[in-house]
Amino acid sequence: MSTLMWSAEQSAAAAAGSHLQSAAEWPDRVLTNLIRYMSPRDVVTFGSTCKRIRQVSLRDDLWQSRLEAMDLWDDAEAKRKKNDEFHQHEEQELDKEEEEDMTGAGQKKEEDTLVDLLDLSPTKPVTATSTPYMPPADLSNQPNPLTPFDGLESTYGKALETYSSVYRNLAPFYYDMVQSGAFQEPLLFKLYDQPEHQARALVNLKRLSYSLGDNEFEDENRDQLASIAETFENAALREFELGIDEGDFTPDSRVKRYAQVLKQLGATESCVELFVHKRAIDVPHSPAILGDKGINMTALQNHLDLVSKTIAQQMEAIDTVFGLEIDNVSYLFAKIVLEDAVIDTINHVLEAAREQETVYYLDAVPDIYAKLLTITDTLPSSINGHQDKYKGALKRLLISQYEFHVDQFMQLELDSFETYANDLVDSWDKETHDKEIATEHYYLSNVTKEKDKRDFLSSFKDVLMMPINVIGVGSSKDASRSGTPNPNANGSSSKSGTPNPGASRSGTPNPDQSSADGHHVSSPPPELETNLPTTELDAKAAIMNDRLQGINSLFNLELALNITKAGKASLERIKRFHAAGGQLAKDSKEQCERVFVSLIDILGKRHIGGGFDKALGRLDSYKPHNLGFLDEKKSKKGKKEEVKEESLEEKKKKEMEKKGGLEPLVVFAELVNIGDLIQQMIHVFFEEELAQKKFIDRNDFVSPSVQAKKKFEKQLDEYVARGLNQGIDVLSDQMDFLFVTTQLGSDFNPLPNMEPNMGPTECAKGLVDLLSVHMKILSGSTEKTVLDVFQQELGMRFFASICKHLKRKTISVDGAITVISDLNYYYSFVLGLKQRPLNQPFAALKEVGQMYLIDTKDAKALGKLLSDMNRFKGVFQPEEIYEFAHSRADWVLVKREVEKAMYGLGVDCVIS
Amino acid sequence: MVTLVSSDGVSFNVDQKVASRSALIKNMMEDIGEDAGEIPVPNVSSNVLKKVIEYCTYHKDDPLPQSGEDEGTSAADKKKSTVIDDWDYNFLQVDQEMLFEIILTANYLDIKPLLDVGCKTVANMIKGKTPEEIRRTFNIANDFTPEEEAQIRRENEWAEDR
Repeated sequence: MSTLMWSAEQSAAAAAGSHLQSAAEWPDRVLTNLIRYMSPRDVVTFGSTCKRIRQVSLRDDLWQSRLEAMDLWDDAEAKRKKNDEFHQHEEQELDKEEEEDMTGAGQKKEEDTLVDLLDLSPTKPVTATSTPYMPPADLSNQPNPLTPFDGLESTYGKALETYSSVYRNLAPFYYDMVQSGAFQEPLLFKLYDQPEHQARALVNLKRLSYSLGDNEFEDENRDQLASIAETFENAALREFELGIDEGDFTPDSRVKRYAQVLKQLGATESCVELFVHKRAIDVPHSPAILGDKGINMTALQNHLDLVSKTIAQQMEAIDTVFGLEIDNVSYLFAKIVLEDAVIDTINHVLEAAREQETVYYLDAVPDIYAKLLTITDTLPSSINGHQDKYKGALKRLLISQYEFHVDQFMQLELDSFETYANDLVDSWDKETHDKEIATEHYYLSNVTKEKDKRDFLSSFKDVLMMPINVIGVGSSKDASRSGTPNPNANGSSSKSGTPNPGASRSGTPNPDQSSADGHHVSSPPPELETNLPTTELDAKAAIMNDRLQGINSLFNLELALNITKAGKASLERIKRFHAAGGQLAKDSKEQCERVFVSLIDILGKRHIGGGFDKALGRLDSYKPHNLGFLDEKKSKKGKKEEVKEESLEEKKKKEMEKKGGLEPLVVFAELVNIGDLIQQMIHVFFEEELAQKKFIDRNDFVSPSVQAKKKFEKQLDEYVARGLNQGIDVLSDQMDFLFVTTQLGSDFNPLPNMEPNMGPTECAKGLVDLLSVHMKILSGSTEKTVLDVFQQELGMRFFASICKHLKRKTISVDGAITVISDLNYYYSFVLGLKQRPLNQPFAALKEVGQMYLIDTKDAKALGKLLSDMNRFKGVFQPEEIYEFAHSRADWVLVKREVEKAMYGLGVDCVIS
Repeated sequence: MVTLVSSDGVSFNVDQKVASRSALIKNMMEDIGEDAGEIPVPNVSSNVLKKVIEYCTYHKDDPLPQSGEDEGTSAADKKKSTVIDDWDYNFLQVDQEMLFEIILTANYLDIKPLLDVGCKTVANMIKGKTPEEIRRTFNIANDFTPEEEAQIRRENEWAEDR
């Protein structure tokens, strides 16, 4: 029917000759767009100009979007309702029909139903083409600006109805207010004098204003309202502030009342901010927190207590004023106070401590961390903070604020440990290098190393087992530093040859000195209890050091001990973060491993490795002739043999007394000893500090610390093996050298007029002494198997040397006695070694000796003897035996017979 | 370059970018390719088309409004663009007939920002007017009977009074 009207209208306009197209003919899209920009009042006016425009202006979706602007439209709800309604319809259709007939109101209802059925599809926008507009039920009611939104529902087809009721309740106040200007009291405030009501109504008006269309006039109105609301809010804040100043925080107080008002205005933020600002009393930190030597923990604790007390005092007020309605005030309040009074203070003192001395910083960081973890626990529970929940948030906040220090700590800890250890090693390296030339080494070998080592290790273990407070914190400041006052002082003092190990430790308290002297610790006076284990360890170290002075130029046990101590202190500090759990625990574990790895690197690779390298270098460059420098002197003097023998004897004696062997080898042996000790030390350290405390799984082969440890052990073994190898070479060179230089030609081939010499020659004695000394050097310092291999190899070299020697010499029948006694002497020495594989070769050698005894005339018997391979127990080949026979002084004479007997080559053979 | 031809046969050579302001032409060009050649724009006269092209040229670098949000633009989105900027305001300082033609053309060619700014201008014109004034301004014939008018007044009461 409207189409008809349309064309009539159109033609009318055309007939009128107007070139202006009527707005009534505009497309729907243009009209709806236009209506969106209009205020409701204009929409209504516009809608009353003609039928078509009216239809468009009543469209439900236009009013829905206005409701939506006020946050009053829930499309999902409307859809749901539509569906429910439809189902209901189906069920009740029959009943309804009957009713309709009876009431006669069927016409209207019919229309309703039709519309509903048409709009079934939920996605289809609702068209209001035939929706009858129902005016609000009761216009005479007083507008209600306080609760205009109560009981509103989202229903398709009823958007305008809903909107108009809201509008009717609010718009009169709204337009009154925005147009009343600055000097006139708005109607709303006249009618409602309670601030709570005013606040609520204001907020409602604000909501309405969003639905009034987007045009310049309404924008101005909105601005106006906003400024009124702001003025109102400021006034409320002022009241609130006055209330705070009154100091009354009871449930009926002004503070509480205006907190509610401000909440309604949506100004909780500025309200809380104001409250926090007014009540957060800054707790100035006392200057006592930062002492001359780092941070005074007691003062800091007092400060923290004060802070948490300050916070606690405000909690009750917060609970009453804000209750549960304004959330999180306890958290915000505590946060501000904590940030000002705790975080800032801590940052400040930590920075200052760091400038004083890095170690103060390192000491303080974990302690403060522990304190931060507990500080929130001391706060009272608060209703406003959801009982204790706010504390957790606070704790997280504090920790995250503190993280910077933790990160820095981790890095610094590793750095400072590395620097410290490297410096120690560096300065020590330099010192030894300087002294090396001038120093006379003093060796003390073959002492009861095994026992000392055990003692040392057990005291080392004691120290490690000590509770943290002894080494780490507080009193520990001295204890942990006690190792620090440079080991150089100790090294030099002990190097000066002081026989008293206790005295070499300058700083050691008296009782310990005596105990050190006595090699055992009497129970100390109680007041020294905490100090004792450390110093006992120091004392032991001094003893060991004294014992091992010989290798001071290679490495230093005390230095190793200091580094280990520093490492332990480092680990102890880092480990305190482990309890925190989560990422931090993981980080701390990693950092621990890093410290351990660098400990091994510095101590193992740099210090010990360097020592070994040096020692190996010395072994390498060692030439037996160096010992024989006397030869040259003597040979110049011309009186060769006797003097030489004498001087050699002298020299040997000196060697026995002073060195007990070849210097580099002895040094190396000591090195192996110490290396082993340090390896055990590291092992104990690893076990005690890392493995036992479940920091590191000792079977976790990917763990860097386990790997580093394994590598270090392997490296040490390699050094030992290389050293032994070279040691063996050096020794066998030395043996050859001794054979050549000390075995006199007359020993085995005496001049006829010489007295037959009974017993082993000096040369043999010297050799055996040399060997026995060196073979025992290593006992107790490495594994038995290594030792066995060493001794056996040395034995075989010795054997080869003897063989070579015999072949080189000329042996007469007279000298044979000497040869045999020498060989017997060697045999008994070898037996004493208890290395079974060595017994046979030496027994065979003894048999070889026998053949020199046979007289020249018995050449045949000699040949027989030589061809009897069983005699030599398969140690020698016939060719070798034949070569031995060459050494006979009368070889030319017996050769034919011997060859005949051995190979059947003689003339006799041919004849027969 | 595209050529737009007005209802009275005048051709306008327009940059593609400019023409793309119109969602209608933009879609058309996408459908039939770049060299669309001449695009007839029936029922838009040359003087109006010229004006609209002027608008499109000025705004050629603006971000394109998202398509599909034609009717459903939320209140929050609209709030931002309430104020008409100076250039648009001056651009629309034309006689009423031209204003309406521009709005209808904007609607036809689907140039949403121009339609919006035009509607805003018209909404401001309607502001505070009586129905009779509006009818005069917009050339609307009153097709209500006096009874109907009375009924409508009653229904509109909620918004009339303050």
